[in-house]
Amino acid sequence: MIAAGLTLLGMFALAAAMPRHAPALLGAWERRMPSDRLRIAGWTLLLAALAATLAASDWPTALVTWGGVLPFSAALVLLGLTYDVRLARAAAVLGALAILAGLLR
Amino acid sequence: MSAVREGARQAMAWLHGWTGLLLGWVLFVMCLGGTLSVFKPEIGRWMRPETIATTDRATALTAAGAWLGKNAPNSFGWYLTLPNARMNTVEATYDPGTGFVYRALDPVSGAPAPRETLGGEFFYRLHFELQLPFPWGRLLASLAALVLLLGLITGIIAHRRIFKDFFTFRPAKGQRSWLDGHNALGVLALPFHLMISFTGLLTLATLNMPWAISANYGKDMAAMFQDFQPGQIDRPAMGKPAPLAPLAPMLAEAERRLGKPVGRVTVAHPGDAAAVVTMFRDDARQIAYAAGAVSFDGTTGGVLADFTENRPALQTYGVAYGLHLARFAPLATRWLYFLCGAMLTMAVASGMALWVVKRRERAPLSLGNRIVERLNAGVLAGVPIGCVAFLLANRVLPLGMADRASAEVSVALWSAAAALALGAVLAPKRSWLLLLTLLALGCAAAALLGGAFADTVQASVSLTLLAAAFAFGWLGFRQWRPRPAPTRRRTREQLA
Repeated sequence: MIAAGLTLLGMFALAAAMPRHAPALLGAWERRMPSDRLRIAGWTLLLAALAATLAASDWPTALVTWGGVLPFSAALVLLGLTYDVRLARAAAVLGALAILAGLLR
Repeated sequence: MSAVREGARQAMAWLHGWTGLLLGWVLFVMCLGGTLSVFKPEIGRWMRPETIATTDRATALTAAGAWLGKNAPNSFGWYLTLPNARMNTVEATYDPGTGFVYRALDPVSGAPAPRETLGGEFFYRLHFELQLPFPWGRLLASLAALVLLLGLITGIIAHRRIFKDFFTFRPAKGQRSWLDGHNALGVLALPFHLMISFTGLLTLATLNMPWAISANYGKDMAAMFQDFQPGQIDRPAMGKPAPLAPLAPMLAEAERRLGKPVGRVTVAHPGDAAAVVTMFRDDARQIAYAAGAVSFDGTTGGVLADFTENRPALQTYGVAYGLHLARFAPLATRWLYFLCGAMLTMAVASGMALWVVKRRERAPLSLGNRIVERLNAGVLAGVPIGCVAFLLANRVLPLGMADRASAEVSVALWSAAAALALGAVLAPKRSWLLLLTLLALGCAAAALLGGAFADTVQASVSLTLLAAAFAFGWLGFRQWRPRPAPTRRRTREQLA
C-alpha cells in the first residue's frame, strides 16, 4: 500500500519535472517547484517504493506486484495529461492517501 | 547523434517492423489468450453456473475417485487438479474407454458438470498451442515469443526519445497518435513485457532446446522425468486387478509431509495391483511452481517416495515458470497481470495498425499493404469475436448435446473465420465499424445472457464483459464518426 502510494507520487513528480508537462500538472505552483528538484524527488520516491516492497514480509509477491503498479501509475498520469489533468492530480492525492493509510495500519 | 548510431537505429527499426509484421497476428492471439488465462479458473466458474457447490479437498477427491472408479476404471491414469480458493471443481483428465477427455467434476457428486465445456482451459491452450496439433502450435508459439523478445529490444533501441516521450500521448493526430500509443503501451509496462516474454520462452525450453537433455539422457525420457521429479514413482501395470485404497488418508499424509496443501493428484493404473497415487504441492501462495511430491502405493496406501525440490537450478526454473503462470498471485496482483497483458496485446495490435497507417500517410498503399490492412481488421477484431462467440455458445448450446465442449470451440473458430472473411471482403473502414459493433454487442449479450450475478466470481466476469462491451462500443463509435483529416507531416515539438 505504502509502495503503491510512493509510486503514484513518484510518477507524478517525474512527469511534473518535464518542461512539456509542468504547466499542466502544476499550474500556478510551477515556479515554486524547480524541475531538477522534482526529478530528484521523483526518483527518490520510486526508490523508496522499491525499498518498501523489499521490506515487506512477503517481498517476492510484493516485488512482482510493484512491477504491475509501475505501469498502472504511469498510465494514470499519462491519461490525465492527455484527457483531463484532474485525473493525474487525483492519482497523486490518492497516492498520498495510500501512504497515510499504509502508515496508520 | 553520430551516423553510426543513427544507422544502427534504422536497422533496428527495420527489424522491429518486419519481424513484427510476420508474426504480429500470431502474437496478438497469444497475448489475448494469455491475458484471459490470468482468470482461467474464474472463467471456468462463469461457464459452469450450475456447479456452485464448494467442499474441502478431501471430500472432492474422494467423490472424484469414486466416480472415476466406476466410469473410467481402465484409464491409463487419472490426472486431477483439486479445488482451491479460486476453483470449486476437480479438473480431471481421464480415459473413459474412448480416448482421453478433460472434464470438470462436481466436488460433491464426483460426476462431470452438466454444462460440458473446456472453460478457461480453451484460452489457456489457445495461448501456447494456438489450437494447432502438437508440436507445431508450441513451436510457432516459441518462435513468436522469441520475436516478441526481439521486438521489445529492437523497439527500445529504435525508439528515439524513450524518456522524453514517456508520459506523452497526442490523440486524433493520425500516425503521431498511433506511434505515441504504441510506444506508451510498450514502454510503460516494459519490465512486465520483458519478464513475460522471457519466462514464456523458458516454459517451452525443453521443446526448443532439447540438446542438453538428449546429450545426457539419450532417448531415455523416463529417466529424465524421474530425475526431474523424484517424488513421482513410475512402474508398469501388473495386469492383476486390485481395489484402490481410500484417497483421503493419503491426502492427509501428503499434506503433513509437504507442509503445504496438495494441488494436483495423479493416479497411475487405477484398479491394478501396481497402482501409484502421486500428490503434488499446490502452487498458490509461493512464486515458484509446485516442486514437491509424495507417491503412495495405490492398493496399500503406503508411502513409496517423498521429495521436495531444493536443487538451485530447478528452483530457479520453478520461479521463472511460476512468475509466468501467476498462480501464486493474490487478486490485486492478478488484476495487474491482466492489465499489463492487455497493454501488451494492445501494443501488438497498435503496432500492426501502425505499419499500415505509416505507409498510408506517405503514398497510396501497395497491394501487399492493402492485404495487410484488411487482414488487420479481420484478425484484430475477429479473434476477440471468436472468444466472445465461445462464451455465447456456452450459454446457447443445449446442455445434453453430444460433444458439447468441442462444439463450443467450433463455434469460436468459425465465428473468427467469418470475421476474417468479412474483413477481407469489405472495405477496411466499413469492416472495422461492423466488426467492432458485433464485438461490443457480443460482449454485452454474453454478460446479460450469462445472467450470473449471484456469485461474486461470476458477477465479476459478467461485469468485466460489460466493461469490454462499452470499450469496444466506444471504439466502434469512433470509427463511425467522421475523423479529422490526418496531419500529413510530423511536427518535431508540439509545445503548448
